[in-house]
Amino acid sequence: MQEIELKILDINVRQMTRRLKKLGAKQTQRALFKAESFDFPDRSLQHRDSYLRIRQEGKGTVLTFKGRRTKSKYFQQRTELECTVSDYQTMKKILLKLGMRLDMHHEKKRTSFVLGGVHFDMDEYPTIPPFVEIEGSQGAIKGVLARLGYTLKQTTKMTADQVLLGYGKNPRNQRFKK
Amino acid sequence: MKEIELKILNISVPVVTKRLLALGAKKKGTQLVIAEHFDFSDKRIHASNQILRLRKVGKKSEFCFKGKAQKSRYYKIVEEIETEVASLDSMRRILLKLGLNVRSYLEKKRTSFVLGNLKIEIDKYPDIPAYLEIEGPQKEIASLLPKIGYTLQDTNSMGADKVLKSYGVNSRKQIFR
Repeated sequence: MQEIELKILDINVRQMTRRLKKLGAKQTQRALFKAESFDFPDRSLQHRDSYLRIRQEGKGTVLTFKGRRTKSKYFQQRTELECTVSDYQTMKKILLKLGMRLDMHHEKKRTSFVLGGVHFDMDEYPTIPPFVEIEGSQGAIKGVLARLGYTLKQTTKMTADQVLLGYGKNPRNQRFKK
Repeated sequence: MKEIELKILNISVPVVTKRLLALGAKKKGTQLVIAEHFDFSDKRIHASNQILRLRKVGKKSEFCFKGKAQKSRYYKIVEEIETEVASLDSMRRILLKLGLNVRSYLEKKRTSFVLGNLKIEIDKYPDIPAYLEIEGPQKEIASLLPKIGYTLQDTNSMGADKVLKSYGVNSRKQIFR
């Protein structure tokens, strides 16, 4: 599947929630997400601008492969392959047995909304201000941006890693304090 | 998890089934099992006697890594790491993206029984006679054998791959017509 998305950084979650609800968006989840990504020792995935991750999404576990980003001025576009798996630790063990190595560990709180085929994920990482990720077709994303009062110039196509780096934070390790 | 098992080749399915049922084994049904084994292009998984397998058992999809078998005279003892996945096709696509290739495609019909702590299976591949696979604690396997008319000498610890090879049939492709 092709994933098309962009982000608006430094949002106020409560304010954004209010605006989304006003537009008729439906909340689909609020959960703790824990993700680990893996690569081969020669970093062959990273060299192909790809990555593999296992993510605990609330109660479910998903294995995801993301391919190379395609050129776009405003949008992050890439192949995304996902498979729900029954057990996080078992999948992790198999990946390690295949010679893959743990590359990063991310924790965040995600609050998700859906509005007319567009998905909104408000992500709160431990060390940076929250941002919202908007995913859908380019046309639909542009449409909701305007309704939310934003322009494309106020968005970014950076990955979460790049956002963390932009704030001078460690993209390899993001954990909430116990 | 450690998997301990052995096989008895070339069995008579009705005879073994009758004996198992007489001992109180519970028949759990027959399912079509479709297994694909994957390897990197340098074949390092196979070369180190390991297996990476994606398998459809009835409606369930399982993803499994099996380590190299430990030395044992009669039993096949391997580390087995297995998780269920929601979609065989998505998982296969991810594996291909990681640089893995499909090494073999094997279909079989599997009839499963449970007796105590033993999992007993009658496997029928298209091109070879049915065989029996008994999995569980060594002692229970050993004590079951005479009750169904066999001794440890009648068993072997080969993997399905080797069994197929021993019959001289294609060990990388087994398809029901």
